[in-house]
This record gives sequence, C-alpha cells and structure tokens, in this order.
Amino acid sequence: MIDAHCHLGPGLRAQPPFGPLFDSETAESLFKLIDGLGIERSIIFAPSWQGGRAGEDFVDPSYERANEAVAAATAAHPDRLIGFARVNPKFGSGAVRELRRCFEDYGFRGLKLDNEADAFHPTDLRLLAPLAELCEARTAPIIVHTGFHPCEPLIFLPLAQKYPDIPVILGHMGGRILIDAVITAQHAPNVFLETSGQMPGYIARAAKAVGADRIIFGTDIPFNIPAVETKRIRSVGLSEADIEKITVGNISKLLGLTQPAMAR
Amino acid sequence: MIIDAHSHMGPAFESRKPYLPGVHPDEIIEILDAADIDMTCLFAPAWEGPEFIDTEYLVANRAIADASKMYPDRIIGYSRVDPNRRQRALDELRRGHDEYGFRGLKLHPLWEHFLPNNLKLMGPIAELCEEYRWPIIFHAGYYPTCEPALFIPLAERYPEVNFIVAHLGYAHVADSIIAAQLCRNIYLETSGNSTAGAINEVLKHVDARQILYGSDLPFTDPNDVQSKITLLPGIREETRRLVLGGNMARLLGIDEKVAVP
Amino acid sequence: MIVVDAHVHMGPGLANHAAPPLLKAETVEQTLEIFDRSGIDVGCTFAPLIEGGDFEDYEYERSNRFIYDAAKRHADRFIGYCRVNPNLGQQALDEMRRCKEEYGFRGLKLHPDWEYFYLNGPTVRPILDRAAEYGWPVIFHTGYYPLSQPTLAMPLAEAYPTINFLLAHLSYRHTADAIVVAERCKNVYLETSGNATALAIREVLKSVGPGQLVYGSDLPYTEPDDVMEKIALQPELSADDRALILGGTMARLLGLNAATRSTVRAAAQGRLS
Repeated sequence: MIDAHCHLGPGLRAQPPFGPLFDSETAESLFKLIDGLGIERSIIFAPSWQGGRAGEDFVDPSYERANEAVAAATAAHPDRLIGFARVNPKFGSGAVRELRRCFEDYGFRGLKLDNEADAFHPTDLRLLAPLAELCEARTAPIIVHTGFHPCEPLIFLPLAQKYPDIPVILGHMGGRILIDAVITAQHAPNVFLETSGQMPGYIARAAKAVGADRIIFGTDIPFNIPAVETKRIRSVGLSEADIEKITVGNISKLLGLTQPAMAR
Repeated sequence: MIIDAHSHMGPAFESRKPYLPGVHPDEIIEILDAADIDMTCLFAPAWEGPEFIDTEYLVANRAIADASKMYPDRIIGYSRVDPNRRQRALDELRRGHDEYGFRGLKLHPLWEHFLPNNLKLMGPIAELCEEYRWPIIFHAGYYPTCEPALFIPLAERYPEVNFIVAHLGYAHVADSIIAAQLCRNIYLETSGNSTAGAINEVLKHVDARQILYGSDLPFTDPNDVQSKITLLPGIREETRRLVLGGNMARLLGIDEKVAVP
Repeated sequence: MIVVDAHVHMGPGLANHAAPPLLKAETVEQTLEIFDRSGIDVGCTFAPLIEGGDFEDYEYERSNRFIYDAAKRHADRFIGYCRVNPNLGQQALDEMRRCKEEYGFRGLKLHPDWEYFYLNGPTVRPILDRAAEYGWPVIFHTGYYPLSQPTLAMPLAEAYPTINFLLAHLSYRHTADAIVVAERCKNVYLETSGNATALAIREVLKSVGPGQLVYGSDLPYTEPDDVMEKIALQPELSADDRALILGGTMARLLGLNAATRSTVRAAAQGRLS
C-alpha cells in the first residue's frame, strides 16, 4: 500500500487540542508505527503549525523548519518516503521561494495546502497562481484538507478547473459532506478523493459515484489509528482490483512511480 | 460486555437503504454478531418519505417493540417521537413504556425540528423519562437545533435524567466536552464518524464514566467505530470496559454478571 | 448618550483583501467619515485579518502601529485595540506590551479561526494572563466550529472573572449557544457586528437582557446603519436600554468617564458643524 496522507516532523511535538495520537516525528518512529500493516511507501508532509506547547516556542508558520525535517527523512529513506511541500500562501513570494526550494533542493513531489489552518481563501486564484504554476510545470499533485466550512470540497473546484494538469486530491474526501466532494470530482477529471478518516459507507458510496480510479488511500497519520485505516479500505466491499488501484495504482500513476515488487 | 448505545432498524430502510441491511431483526443480530456486540439500544431511523411515511413513528416503534420481543437478551428497545406533537408524543411514550417495554428515548432535534433548550416543550417529556428512568439520546452536533451547548439548560433543569449527546456532537466536540464537564448527567456517545482523535480528546477531559460506545449501525460498520476505542493508544482496560458497555449497563440498570449468556 | 462601536477595522490590510469590503476604512479620514455619517462617537478599532500575499503583516505589527500613528490626532474618536496571533508565543506577548506601553491601546482582539487556535486552547492562556494584568476587555471573533464556538468561552470566563469578554457577531448562527454562555457568565457580553439578525438581537434581549448586549458594526465589512437600525427598531426597547446597548455599557467597560464623554461629544459636534 502507499499512504498518500501522512505527517512527520517536529511540529507534532506541540500538543494542541485534538493533537496527534501517536509519535511520527521521525522516520524511525513512523516506521515503527506502521510496522506490519503493509504500507510500503508514505507520502509525508508537515502537520499544521499551531503554535508552541507551553514552555516550548516552536514558531514555524512558514513551514520552513518543518519542510527541512521532512527533507531529512526522505533523503535518508528514498525507497519508503516521498516528500510533499507545505507552504502558507499568505507569505506571498516567501511561500513561492519555499515551494521552489522544496521541489528543486529537496526533491519533493507535491504540495499540501490547508486553508483552515493557514487561513486563506482557496478561491483566491491570484494568491495561489504562483504556487499553482510551479506545480503545473511538474504536474505535481496538490493535496488539500477538506471538510466543513471553510474547507468545503467545492471551493477547490475553481483551482482544479484552472489547472487541469494538476491532480487535486481532496483529503478526507469532504468528511461529513462527502456529497460535495463527489460533486467536485464529477466536475473536474483531475480531482481525486482521499480516504483517510472517512466512514466505511461513504467510501463505498464514493467508489460507486466516481469510480475506483479516482480514489486514493491515505491514513492521516498520526491523527488516526493506522490499523483502523488500513483495515477499513479492505472492508467496504471493493474488489481486489479496485483495492489495488486505490492503495497503489492511482497514486503511482500520478507520481510516475515504478512500483517495487508487489510483494504481499 | 459490549453494549451499543446507538442503532437503528425499521421499515423505513426498505425504501431508503443504509450501508448495511436493517429492516428485519435478524439482520440487526447478524451485524451485532459480526462485531461481538452483546446488546444494542435500538430505535427507529428518521422517516424520509415518500414511500414510507410515519410522522409520529407509530409504525416504526411497533417494529422496534417486535424486535425486542424477538430478541429480548440482545435488543433494548427505545421509543422515538416528535416532541412537537405534544400530547400525542406523550401518549406514544406511555405506550412505549406500558405496552412495548421500551427502556429509553431517542430524539432528533434536527429531523423533528425542535430546540432542546425549549424547556416548555421538553419539560413534559423529560418528566416522563424521569419517572420511567429512561435515558434520552439526542442526535447532536448540527446547527441550528442540536449544538451541544443547547443541552446544558435541559440537563441542569432535570438532573435526575440522563441525557446522551450522540456522535460526540460531531464537529462541536469541543463544546460537548464543556457540556459534559458542566453536567454529570450529560453523556457523550461515539457513533457515526467520531474520529479516534475526538474520542481521545474526550477521554482526556471528561470522566470515562460519561462516555458511551455507540455505532450508528446500520449506517456504518460498528467494527470501525469500536476499533477506534479498542485500539486507542494508552487506553486503560477499565476505561475500555466502561466505555464499551459498563456505562450503558449502569444507565439501563443491567446487571452485567447476569446478562451475559 | 454616547455611541461606541465595539467592532471597527481600519488600516492598509483592508486594501489587500481578495474581496474588497463594502466601505472604505483604510485611512483615518475614511473611517471618520463613516463614523460621522452614522453617528458613531467612538470606535474600538483594530487590525483587519491579514490575507497576505502582497501585504506582509503576519504578526500584525504593521497594522497595530498603523492604528496608533493614524489615530494619534483623534484619540477621542478611536480606542485602539491590540491584535495578535497567540500561536506566536513570545512575539504576541511582546506586541501586547508595545501596544499597551507605547500605543496606549485599551483592548485586545483575537480571531481563533483566522489565527487557527481553539478559543480555549493552550496558547490563549498566557495572552489572557497579560490582558487581565492590563485590565483590557477581550473581544473574540466567534461563531464558527470548531475553533470559535461561543461555548468555548465559558471556561475562560470562569477562569478570568476580571476580564470582560465580548463574543463578536452574536456568534453568527450560534447565538443560541452564546446565550447559554452569557446566562451563566456575567462577564460575557454579546456583540452585534456582522450580520446579526433582528431576530437574534431580540432573542438576546429576551433571555439575557440589554445589559449584556453591545453594539458593534464590523465596519467596513458592514454598513453600521444597518446594524444600528436592527437595535433601534426593536419592539419595546426603552430609550435607556437603547443607550446602554449603543454605547453605555462599552463606555463603562472601557472606563470612559463622564468627562471623557462630554469631550467626545463636543469634539464630534465640532466636527459636524
């Protein structure tokens, strides 16, 4: 399996409300966490920055320190870890610089955006344009956090439609408002629905509505229980072929991954 | 023993199919067995029409009554009513208690469109439930009528009634936590799509005796929700036992030592 | 009678919004024009949220300073509030100190959604400790789950009994929740800015009464007259209660004494004549 939604780095040390359940600060702790679950590769990126824990000031709203930590992990384990950049578009040219660094220096393969945590309007294409253009040049996917307002899936449709060559992955496929995610996916062929945290019934419904080709497996480690996420995708009545697409094939195609031996 | 605090069954599911089948009691037992659930609190799902119309839940409640008679050691029947019906709702509650042997009440402030803190409306119902020693489980978590804070005035006014806030209040989990801290007779129940993170957060701030496992079957697979509890990092054996069934047994006056076959 | 608007934004950050606000309040002159037109004597004024990109002020230092510089010559019309991002830790505390000691600001604005923290989250406590020390009222943007639900203000109001908390926007759709909080915490005030409906205002009046309802407009995103009318035209609202809501309570919370008030009135009249 390839996990398309996984967080790593020192930002996890902060203990905000609804913080991480497990330790995935380092590659070693992540590997221990997913041991035995059949996850061969993880797409990793920074968690949302939410200030420092009392007594420890970790100030990294621009995610530079966080991306650096992800880069160190992917450099040490290129066979198992794929890095995505995380930037806060509010930082303008600084964000563009950071994304460029992530692509060119760190070899990252995509971009994670979260407009709830980093407070921007996904429909502000003027703000997102320079970042999108960098992604478009590389056909690098953008994975976004989705759920209720302010990150309803439909507000990512303008971005997806303006940049049809960028795969836009809706993280958590809209959560409770799956229906929005389905409608969004039905209006743009470059939109994909990611499974982490979603109810079994809704995953089944999504697969029926948009097809297994458009679904991508993720765990949202360390904010979900990995074993629950990996078990769920196999328990919603999908065929073996569809499970293969969702857990390996689709994301591999998007990232041009040559798959390692499909050892099970 | 594992008791599911939140499950549905009924003829409404014939025309509106949920994730798993849930029209006939046998189908419910099958789901329970697949998830090692000993007993479940069972009530009517929302009627949606147009094929099946049952605005006062009379047909649906009767189906629940039949199910609990068929499987008295597995199914705990709850009533469901529309409080806006006033006296007719109270009559149906009485029927549930006197004829059907029901043990609790399900209310849905969104679907039946009422405010939980409307004490004039809720008063007579709460008083009956106090007399019957019925817990009241509320769908919770959506604007405009079932945000967790709205249960606080009701719980304060009726301290002898146990109020269960379903779904941990969905996106309003943080509110639910405050409500449960304020009122010892407010219980938080995990059904639906409570994330492991939300369950974890709730257990951090609320007494474990106030947390209930519920699944929302057959809208979802109860194993999925259950595993978020059993696999929660650092959860103590005693907490697990309380959440998975000990608390609900206490609320319903079930002696666990006797009940488990 | 003094009219105090509890929720005013001013500054260059407004020019940077992707969707321009309804009115213009980037400069003091523009803001005063709105005040005079609507009969606002004094405005509690703070930075708008920063959308970033071209205008960089993530820490709100530029915006806070702008309000100080611009409003210096009109101290009788503007009461400057500090705005910070609690997640920035020491920087936020330092900025609060600068706002108090250099700028003479008199209150604090916090936005849990835009600055991404739970209203009752851990990064807020040190900020509130300082606000209590300064005797500042604290106004929270409220009304969005999961971060700025009004319910989350209840533990704060209990933990900081000397702080006067204002929950802005009547907590938008969640006015009912805000009422539950205000009923139980006398140091919580519900503020009308944004899109408070006449119905929501009436609900507050019915349940908590006029003493905990405070007028604010959210200008320049909203037309102040619109909000004021929804208050003024409430059925069965006495003139005294109306005066409380429109400025009496806020004047008390800010310690604007009678002398200040008459100065303000005189200045305002001078401006209009």
